[in-house]
Amino acid sequence: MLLLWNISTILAMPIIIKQAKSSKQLIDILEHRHLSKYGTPGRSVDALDILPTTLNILAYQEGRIVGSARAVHYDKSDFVSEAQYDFSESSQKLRGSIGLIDTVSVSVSKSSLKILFEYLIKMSVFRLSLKGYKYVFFYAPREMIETLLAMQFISLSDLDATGAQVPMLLKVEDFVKSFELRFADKEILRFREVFYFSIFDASEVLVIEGERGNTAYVAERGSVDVVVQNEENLVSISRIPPGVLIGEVAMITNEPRTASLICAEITPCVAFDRGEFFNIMYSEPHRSVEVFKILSRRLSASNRRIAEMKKV
Amino acid sequence: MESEVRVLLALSDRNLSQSIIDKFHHKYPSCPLIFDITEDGQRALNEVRFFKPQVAVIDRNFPGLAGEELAQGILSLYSECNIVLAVSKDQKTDVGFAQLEVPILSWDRALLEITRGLPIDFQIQYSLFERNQLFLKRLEAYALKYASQNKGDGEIVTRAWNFQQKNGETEIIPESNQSGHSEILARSPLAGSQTDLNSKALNIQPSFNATRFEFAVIGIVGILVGLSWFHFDLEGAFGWTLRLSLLATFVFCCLGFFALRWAVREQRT
Repeated sequence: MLLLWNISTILAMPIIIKQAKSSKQLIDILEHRHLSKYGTPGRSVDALDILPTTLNILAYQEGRIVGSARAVHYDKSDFVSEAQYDFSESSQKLRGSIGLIDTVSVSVSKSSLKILFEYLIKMSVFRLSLKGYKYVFFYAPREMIETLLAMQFISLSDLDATGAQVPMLLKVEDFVKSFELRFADKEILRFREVFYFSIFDASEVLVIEGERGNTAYVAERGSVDVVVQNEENLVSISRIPPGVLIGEVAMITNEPRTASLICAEITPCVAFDRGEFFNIMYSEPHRSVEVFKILSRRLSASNRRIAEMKKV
Repeated sequence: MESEVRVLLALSDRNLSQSIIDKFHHKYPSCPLIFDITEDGQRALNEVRFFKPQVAVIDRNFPGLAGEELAQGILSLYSECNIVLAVSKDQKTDVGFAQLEVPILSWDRALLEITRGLPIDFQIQYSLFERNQLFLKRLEAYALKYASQNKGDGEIVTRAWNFQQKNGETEIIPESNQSGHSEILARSPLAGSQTDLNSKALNIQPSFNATRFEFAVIGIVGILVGLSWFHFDLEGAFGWTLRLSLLATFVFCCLGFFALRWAVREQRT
């Protein structure tokens, strides 16, 4: 359609966090990692980059990479014990595959630093969970300890000790359970292989009424105003709390959005795109039951509201 | 969704047609409408076969062919067309045509009806565009009330956290800064297998753009060799010379192909 849209500055440019899948994305990550570490252009490559078990997560905003993380399979023979923490003693007590998040780099505004770090780690853990990893080690920067403790990481050393970094351990199952607890529509999180994170800032517009979109969202925290055009005015009809699936009708049916969604505060979301979501539906149709559960709940809630209104 | 919308204007007055087009473009400048003007009913019917208009605005008092006949003819050729029958003000009538179920309109409403006659997809997008400018401004004003929260000073902070590995790290410096490249590679414990590491890590394949061409040439020569040896009845010195020449060509092509691949690989190393 040759429609000339006037792209307003309010149209959202969220930080999108996904697993790197293409060579170009991997090259971008290597360059970003080098730039973050040394401050000069170049690429940092090591032997772990070429292993199939290595996961690279990238964060980009407005087409520019703003962060990356790497998660590798933990094998004590690959890691030195003199300079940094020796995880080998802890690893002997654990049963199951162990991953290690060994590199995180970010270049973003100060206000977004912590949240970007947090979601890079979360994406890494989710991707490791898909590969069957049970535990994750991370030699975490001290300033991020609180964030990581809230994610169910446990410290392997005394938190009061000095040192810029703290060794931490995460049991993946505990993290996933605590993550799902916050979602009313938790069934949608079963599609872990296709979701990614989008971090919207306050005042960013997720969707615009009337446009066609192909992404659905679930806010992990923050809140979203639902706004509709009523003659000459914009009216807020509700505020959606975290954990509720939004935008799913447009994603499934390709119909125009029925309302606009505006973030009232910084809102990290789990996002699903139609293409990948439908690929799963076509290849594993039995999983559509999860979506039916959500839609059925919506329908019964609507019916209850209509019944209450009729009583009044 | 359609990428363009086709409108047939079958009006007795060409100036009126042009005036409608001008007004429409002025009001909806980005609307992708293609107009076709005709003042001849029979020609209009002929054009419908190729033009396939989604909307047809037809003069009820069309010269030569009555507007209703033209409308029926268009619908029989292209049933998806939305018909708008129009009359001048002094001939306005409230009587519709039951067979066609289309309204009779005055000219001054033709512009509006063209829009209403558009396909539903286009209507939604177009109505959005119509209010888009004002709507986005309102949306922006609504959103901005949240904008003052949590906004930093915009300063970009770059941080990197690493966990040291046994195998060490290799830097790849861009060409503009190659002076220390070989020195860095020499220091790297993986220098002996650097090419493989780079290739795998960066997914670089040895560039050999002529591969398909070479295969095609080898394939063609191979077919000719096969034909000359087993199918063609080539006798005498000429026949054998041809066979041997083709065989030699085939062998040299194969050798050349592999030599070129080896040379490219060496160059990249």
